[in-house]
Amino acid sequence: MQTNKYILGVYDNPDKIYSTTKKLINKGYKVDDVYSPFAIHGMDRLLGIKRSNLTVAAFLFAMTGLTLAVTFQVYVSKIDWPMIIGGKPNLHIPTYIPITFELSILFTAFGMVTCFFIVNRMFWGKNADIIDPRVTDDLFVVSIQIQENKTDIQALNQILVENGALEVRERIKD
Amino acid sequence: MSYESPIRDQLVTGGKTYRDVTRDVTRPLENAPSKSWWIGFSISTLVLALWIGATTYTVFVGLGAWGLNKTVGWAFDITNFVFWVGIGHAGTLISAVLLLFRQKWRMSINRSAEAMTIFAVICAASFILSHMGRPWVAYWPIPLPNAFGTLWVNFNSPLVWDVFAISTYFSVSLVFWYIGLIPDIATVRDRAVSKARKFWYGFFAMGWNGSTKTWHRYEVISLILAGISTPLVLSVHSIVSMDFATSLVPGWHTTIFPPYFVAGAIFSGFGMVLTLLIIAREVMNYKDYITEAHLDAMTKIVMVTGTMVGMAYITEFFVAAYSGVEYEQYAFLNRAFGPYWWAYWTMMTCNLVAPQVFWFKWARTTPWFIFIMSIIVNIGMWFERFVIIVTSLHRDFLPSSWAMYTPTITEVSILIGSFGLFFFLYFLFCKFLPTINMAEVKSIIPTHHEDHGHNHVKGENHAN
Amino acid sequence: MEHAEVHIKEEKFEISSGNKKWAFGLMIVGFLLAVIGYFTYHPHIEGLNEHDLHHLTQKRLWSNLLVNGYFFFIVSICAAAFIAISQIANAGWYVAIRRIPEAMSEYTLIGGPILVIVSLFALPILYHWAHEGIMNPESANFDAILAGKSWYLNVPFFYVRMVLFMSFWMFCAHMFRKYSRKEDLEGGMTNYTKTYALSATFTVIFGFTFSMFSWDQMMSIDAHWYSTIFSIYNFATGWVSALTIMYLFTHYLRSKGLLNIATDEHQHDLGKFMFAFSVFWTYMFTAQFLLIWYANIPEEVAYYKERLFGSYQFLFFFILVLNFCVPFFIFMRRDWKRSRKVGYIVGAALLLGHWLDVYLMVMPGSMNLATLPTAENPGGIIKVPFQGFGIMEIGFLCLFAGLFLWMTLKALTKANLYPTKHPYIMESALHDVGV
Repeated sequence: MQTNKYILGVYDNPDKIYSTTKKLINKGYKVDDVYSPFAIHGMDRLLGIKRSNLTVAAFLFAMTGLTLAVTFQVYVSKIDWPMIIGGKPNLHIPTYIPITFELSILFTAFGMVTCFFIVNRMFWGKNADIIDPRVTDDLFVVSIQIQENKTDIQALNQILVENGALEVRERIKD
Repeated sequence: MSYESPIRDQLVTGGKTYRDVTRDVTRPLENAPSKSWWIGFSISTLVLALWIGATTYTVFVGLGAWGLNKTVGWAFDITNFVFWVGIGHAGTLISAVLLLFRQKWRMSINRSAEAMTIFAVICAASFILSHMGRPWVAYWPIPLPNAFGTLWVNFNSPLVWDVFAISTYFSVSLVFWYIGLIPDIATVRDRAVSKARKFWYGFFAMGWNGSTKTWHRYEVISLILAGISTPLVLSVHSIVSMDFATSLVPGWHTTIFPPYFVAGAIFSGFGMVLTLLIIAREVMNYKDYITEAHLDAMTKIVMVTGTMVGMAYITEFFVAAYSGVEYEQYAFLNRAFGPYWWAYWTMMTCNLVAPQVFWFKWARTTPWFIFIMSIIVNIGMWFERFVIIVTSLHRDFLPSSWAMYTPTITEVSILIGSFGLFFFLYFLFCKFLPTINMAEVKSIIPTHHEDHGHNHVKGENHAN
Repeated sequence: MEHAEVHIKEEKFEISSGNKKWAFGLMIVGFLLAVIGYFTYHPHIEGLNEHDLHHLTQKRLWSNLLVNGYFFFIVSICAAAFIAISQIANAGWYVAIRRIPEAMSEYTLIGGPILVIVSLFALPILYHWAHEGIMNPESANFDAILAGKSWYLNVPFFYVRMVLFMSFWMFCAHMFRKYSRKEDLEGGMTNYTKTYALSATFTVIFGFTFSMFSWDQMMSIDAHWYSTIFSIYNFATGWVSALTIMYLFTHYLRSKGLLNIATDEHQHDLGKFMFAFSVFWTYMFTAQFLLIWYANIPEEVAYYKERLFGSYQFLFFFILVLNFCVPFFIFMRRDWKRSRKVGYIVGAALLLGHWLDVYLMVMPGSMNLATLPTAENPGGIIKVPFQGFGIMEIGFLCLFAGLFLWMTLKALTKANLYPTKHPYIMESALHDVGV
């Protein structure tokens, strides 16, 4: 049974928290997340986070931008109001390249950043769920979800402290 | 932390801890501005006033306020535009290209370089607006269905491409910069004491809490943004170059223009980054973050791109001679030995010859000398655009319409004033946002402080 | 945060009988095909006499030799440039595969002399400006524009440049190999520092000289035509091909259980490079094409007229597909950059594409016949349409590919498969591309 209770182990060194997390995972504890002031190399793989699909989204957005740009330019220059400029054919394909390229990039960037905000549930003015105010400064926090009748809190505390935790505390998420 | 060879330079010196980084970077934000900040800010505000005055005068009087004539229809305005767009290239280059190449020395300089990009593009756009003469119809190059029937813009025109390129570049750079800022804004939020600071930084931090899941996506998105920004940077200055290169004007129409303009943009951009960072590391005391190793790497790039630009000058000159086209040949002879010879040779000296001093280690690591060099580079790159634009135009196919161009006081004021606009924005940035990417810098600090990071080898070397 | 254990050990490569079969098989089959192709080629073009037709056969032969001689030479010299540029950029990741570009650069030892000899014969046959009487105002063949270029385009100067440039590059490539092999024995930083200094010098001089080299070898075939970006475009061609061959060799060696220090991560990074520089090549292509197409100046568009609207049209678009679409859409995916099967396909497409690119730089310009200028034909040139992609082309390609393969494999046996005492070897061994 999962609970909404979490044990937090606070560390001051990324190496220590990495090795501790690894031990905890090996021992079968349910590590919920690790909070850090910067991305710890390899931590995402350790926590088993699936590689983000943002890249696929990026490709789709690029294709959208590309299609829109080509369609629009062809529509304007060939269908809606054909004009001969500089002796060029109405379907002046090479000169479509720059705008098509720019719009593909624009769509990719904005589309993907929007997706990023949506999957992270980030928006302007959101109240941060701050684990520890110093987690954006110099502390690293591992949070372990407690499972009813399964997690031995005593042993867990001991592991955390033995591996150099500055502080161990409990947190209840609602 | 991936493994690093012990022969590499330490990128953060002085044995800084994570907490030191936070304190050092947030100090200017959390305290009253220093005296030097006030002096710099006041001067730039005064110069900005000059820009506002001169631009307003131009808008009221019309382009007659400038020294343009029938033959030389583009001069200071487009020179300044290309100059500022060029400056705006180093920021995204540093953060995107160097990220793709995993150059860690970018980490302590990318924030201010990106800010510089954004401000430089704003300056560049201001020249486009003012050179239109009637800035209130500046929306005309945008393909909107309009009151005159559905007459669309001309997609054959490189000027329309430019509108798309510059606006895409500006908005994508802004987004890239903002994404990079989020974790640092969260740091400022968590340190904030006053309610207003907590609110505003909290508002823009978007609820960032440093979770690994978020960090993972953050890294992926940074990588993709870098991946798309890299060709974007190249494309923007290529498209700017096509404003000239698609024409038939000798000296403008040459196929090397796109890569040559890009190299020049990187060159001038790094020049400006050096100018700003050398001041910043003195005034804000960031010598442990922007070390001699950083200056060394940047000056090497200045040297390489300077030589590339120089190679393009020589290639152009050579191919003009080789082509056998007399107009091409005349255009280049006129550049070097015509009435504007001084501009040409200033450009050559500043861009090709001067950066060669960076072959010497001393020159690459002496801040005051690099500072002077960075200004020389900027002067040289400004003259490059002036040479390309004015000397190609002022003697065209009809000798009867040959003319000379002299800037008016208004034009010079706008040019000088644009530096006011640039530095005004930059000083505000230094006051309100962290000028060094704290999160990234923390990630390259050695984790074992007791042995100063010289001995964090984890792999085993079984070589005999 | 923690690393797998890596053992740096001295690993040698030995040429297997399969390798030998392939290399010599290619050479022999290629040679035979080339000979058969040469003797079976009987062009039938209306309005041409027997003498002209014989001349055309010669032209096709030497064009083929030039295409292959040039392509394989620039590939191997770009491999040396890869070493130099990685060195001055302080790159660490590439050290595990460093011996592959080193080995590739050893082809210059034989490819350089071959190209010089080919040029010796090809110059009067293929290059319009070197034809008799072009520079002589007395002659009926006189061409005033080309005569205006005689200060640069003249036979002695051509050779002086060629020999000078090539020997400098080959010397540098040789020194890179020498320092690197010495490092394996001595260790320490001496050889590294020396390579560093030489790399900086090489890179700068290479930049300037390669430009002229590509103008001489390729651009002057279409002697009236000129493009300032041409040299960078050529560099992109050689550079992408060199990266592709490195990528393929890494895959191959790993599939044989060798070079285990190079992992999927290295493969991935090489793949990224191929991807990025394919885009770079396309950028150069577009910059040159778009600007010439747009300005529409007769002396410039002549170059594209034959290629885009003439008989070479199919190849023109086919190259774009091979060199841009294939790597762009396939290597966009992370796992496909790491996959051996997909890698082989993309690699083969890229190599073919860039080889065809050189082919297309040479053929339309060289397969022309010079005649006396007439009223209908003031240029004095009869354009010969595309003669098809026959066994002569395949033969010469196989012959040179076999030779290149053999030289590279042989060079690989001469030293450890990776530099064991390079200061960045551990960085490379523990290389990880991250997210």
